Amino acid sequence: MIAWNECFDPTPLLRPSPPPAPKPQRTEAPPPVNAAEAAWRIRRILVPTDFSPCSVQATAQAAELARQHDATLTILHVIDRNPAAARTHLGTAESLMRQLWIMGIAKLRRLAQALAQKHTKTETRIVEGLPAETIVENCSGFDLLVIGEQRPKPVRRFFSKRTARRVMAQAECPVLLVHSGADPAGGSRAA
Amino acid sequence: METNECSLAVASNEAAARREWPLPKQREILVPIDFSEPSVTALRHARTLADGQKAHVILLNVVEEPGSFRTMDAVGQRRVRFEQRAERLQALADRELGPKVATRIEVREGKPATEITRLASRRHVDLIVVGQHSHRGLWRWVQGHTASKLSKTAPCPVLLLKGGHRLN
Repeated sequence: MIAWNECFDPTPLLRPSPPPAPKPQRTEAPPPVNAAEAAWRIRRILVPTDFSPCSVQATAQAAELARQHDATLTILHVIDRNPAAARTHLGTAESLMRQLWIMGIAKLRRLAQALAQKHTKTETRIVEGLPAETIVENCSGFDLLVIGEQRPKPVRRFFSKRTARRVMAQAECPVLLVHSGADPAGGSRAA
Repeated sequence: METNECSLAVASNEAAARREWPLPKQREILVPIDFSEPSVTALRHARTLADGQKAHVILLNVVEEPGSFRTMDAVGQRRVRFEQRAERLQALADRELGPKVATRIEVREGKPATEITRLASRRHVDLIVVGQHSHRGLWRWVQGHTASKLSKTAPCPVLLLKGGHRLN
């Protein structure tokens, strides 16, 4: 037979409880970090492109930023594993994918040459996969991701709104979203 | 043959892009601030961009809650709140941006996404830098999709930053 006070020691309850720890003051902002940490350096910029006007505009702005911050621009082209051209393509799947690869490489080379003429350090990368997922996978290690989004959607494009949205929600690095097309607010920015 | 066609298309797009950029020299960056950690992170990122481009930074706070009528001095209370917010913004700007960056303080009343878009289009802002709260699931419906709403409606490029982005 065990007495209740053998298995249950009431002394902690009888002892006066320690004073509660001072509640941390809820600051309205985190304390300023040290100087080395505070600077956000843009060294590597990733810009996924499908060569549509909006993504080329995004590339142009990324190149501008790269020049200002002396950063390396990486142009990523994702070859969609579910290509939109599959509906109208006559021939085998292999021939379609080969064609997409050839076209992608040629366009990417052309774009990289155009940027190299403007003294931008450029790398190119071409990957086959699902667009949003592949972009998110490839964005690690970059300081900025520049993505173009087409505002009005007359045609369902490769970079549909959905790709930009999903990249935006999932990407690890800061995302700069560049719109093209008509402004819903009405104030167009003519340069 | 096909390759040539594509490259021509790319070239014309390039030309279109060149017409759009570069932008006029004096640029303005809008940073909406709700005094939370992501928004302060956004401000720090905006400083980097402003340093690189000699840009103005506009700090905007949107007062969401309506004034209480209990004190029977709704107008005075509103004015006091606006002044308080402006002071806090000024303090934040002094601490985070320093004296080198030209800043401007704005306090508005209304729904955040609407007011930010309105100010951006009225002042022809070049870039909006927003901190994103990392709300997931149901909580996201309750609060915190100003950033994603903004990215749909904004008249200019939007830089989205998550709270967890480390500055290095």
